[in-house]
Amino acid sequence: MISIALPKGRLGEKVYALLARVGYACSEFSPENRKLVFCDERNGVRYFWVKPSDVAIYVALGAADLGVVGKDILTEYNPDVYELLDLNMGKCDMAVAAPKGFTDDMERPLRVATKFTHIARDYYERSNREIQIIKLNGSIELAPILGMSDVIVDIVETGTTLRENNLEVVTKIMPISTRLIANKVAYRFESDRIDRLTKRLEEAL
Amino acid sequence: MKETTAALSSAERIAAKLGGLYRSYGYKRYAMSRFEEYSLYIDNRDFLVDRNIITFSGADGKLLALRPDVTLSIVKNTNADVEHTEKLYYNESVYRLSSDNLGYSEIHQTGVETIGNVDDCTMAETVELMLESLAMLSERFVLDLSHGGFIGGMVETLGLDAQELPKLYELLRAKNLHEFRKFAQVNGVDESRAAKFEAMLQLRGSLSQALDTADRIADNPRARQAIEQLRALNGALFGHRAYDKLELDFSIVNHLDYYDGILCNGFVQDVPKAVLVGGRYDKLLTKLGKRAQAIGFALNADALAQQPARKVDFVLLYEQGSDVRQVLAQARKLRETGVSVRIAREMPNVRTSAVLRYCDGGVQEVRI
Repeated sequence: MISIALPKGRLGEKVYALLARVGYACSEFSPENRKLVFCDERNGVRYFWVKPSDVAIYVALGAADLGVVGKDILTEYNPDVYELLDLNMGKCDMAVAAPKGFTDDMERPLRVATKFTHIARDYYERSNREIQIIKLNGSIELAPILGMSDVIVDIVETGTTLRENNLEVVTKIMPISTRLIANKVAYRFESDRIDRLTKRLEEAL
Repeated sequence: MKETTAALSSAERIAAKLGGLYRSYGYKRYAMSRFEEYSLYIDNRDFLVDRNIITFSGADGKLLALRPDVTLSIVKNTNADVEHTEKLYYNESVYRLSSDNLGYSEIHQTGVETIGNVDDCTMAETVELMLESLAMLSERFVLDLSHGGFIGGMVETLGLDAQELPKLYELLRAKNLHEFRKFAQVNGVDESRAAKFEAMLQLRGSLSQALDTADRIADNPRARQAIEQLRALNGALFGHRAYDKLELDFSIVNHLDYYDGILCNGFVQDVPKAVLVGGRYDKLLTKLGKRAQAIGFALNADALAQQPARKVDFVLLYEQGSDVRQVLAQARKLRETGVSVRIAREMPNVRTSAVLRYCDGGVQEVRI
């Protein structure tokens, strides 16, 4: 039986629909009720609903064989897993954004508000820019509005939130999309089943 | 607290079992101090699995470290050279800081090192010892082989700038085919070269079969030499009772600055990361100014001790007087779907994802 950690929310449901279409449906499955584990013996699959940022942890520690996770989380936490497929869903960009008309004052460290501290540090290290990281867990856009930070490093999908808050993208750091990942030990013992599932998904995309 | 003691004692039990195995091959126990000068680790940082080291000042003001690794200490202190080979085993604790710096952990390690002259026979014996060690610990295990020379040779053929290599190794480690394709395109890698690298990245399978594929794609002297070494190893181990557990997988990429020959990772089902790590590390000896070759491996006894009780997908309960043929048939039917099923009168002490009950010719779920 293959265990798959899905991210709670719209994206997880979309990926489940795709998996169901290629032969991994689960008769018990329902995103509405509060059950966290769904199992289907006939199709040999078990699903878990997990907080999106925790998917990689469940897979890296072997609680799930496979997982569906954004490239942002993979880059930020660098878990020791196999990255088998780009599902081309949940597409967006990791970007630096700032209030409209912003210019960088090189005489002092740049204050960067973000959830993604490793990505931000990595990005500015490459250009040798000294920064001060402000780690936030949500509503990152608020930080420059209140003058708490100069810029933010965050995910930008359509840019609506930025526009409504008078912010704009300064630089795109990297494109982001959803990936299928596998636990390295599970892949060794279940490689046939995992390869079959990956191939079916790839063909359906 | 009680659980920790239980885990430690079972780690010690595993270490004792393995020690007996290594002594039976004539390996000598090597015991050492828990402290080393910090400079040893700083000079060889890349050799360490984890760069977080616990340090403190000695009485004379020298900066000392709680040993994060055993191999470096053995290599530093050994008198072995190409004329005098030493075969050693150890059973020691190593100390590492957790990655978030919130605490440290003591990890029980058992391992084997041969330092001096490492010929084909020594290499085969070391891999045999890896197989024997893993077989002692679990029925379901895999020993993956890789080769630093093969990977290095294949990487050379791509003609990339040195600054691109860390990214390339990261992609290989993650078997990340889709991003490798983009990477090859961006860096202007020749299509036929990229295709061969892709084949290496995807390669996985039994040693003898996968070697044939590796043979077909190896078109560089370093890679060819590696194939010869792996073929010799394959021939030497053919017929061993655990031969079918040997697989070839080039996603095992340890620090190629140190490991230039075979690389090995051992896996046991239900332990989520490699329990055995090893390989040939002649370059470390050269770096430390020693005239010798070396091969060895370490087993993480703590990871094994925490291995959960064997997992069964389903437990199928039946009652006394149930139709035996029917019970067996129901269990068989479930197994045909690819799950493991244990039949029992009463709930056994096993980890399971579902408990089913047989009644009236059918099966009902009791709980998940």
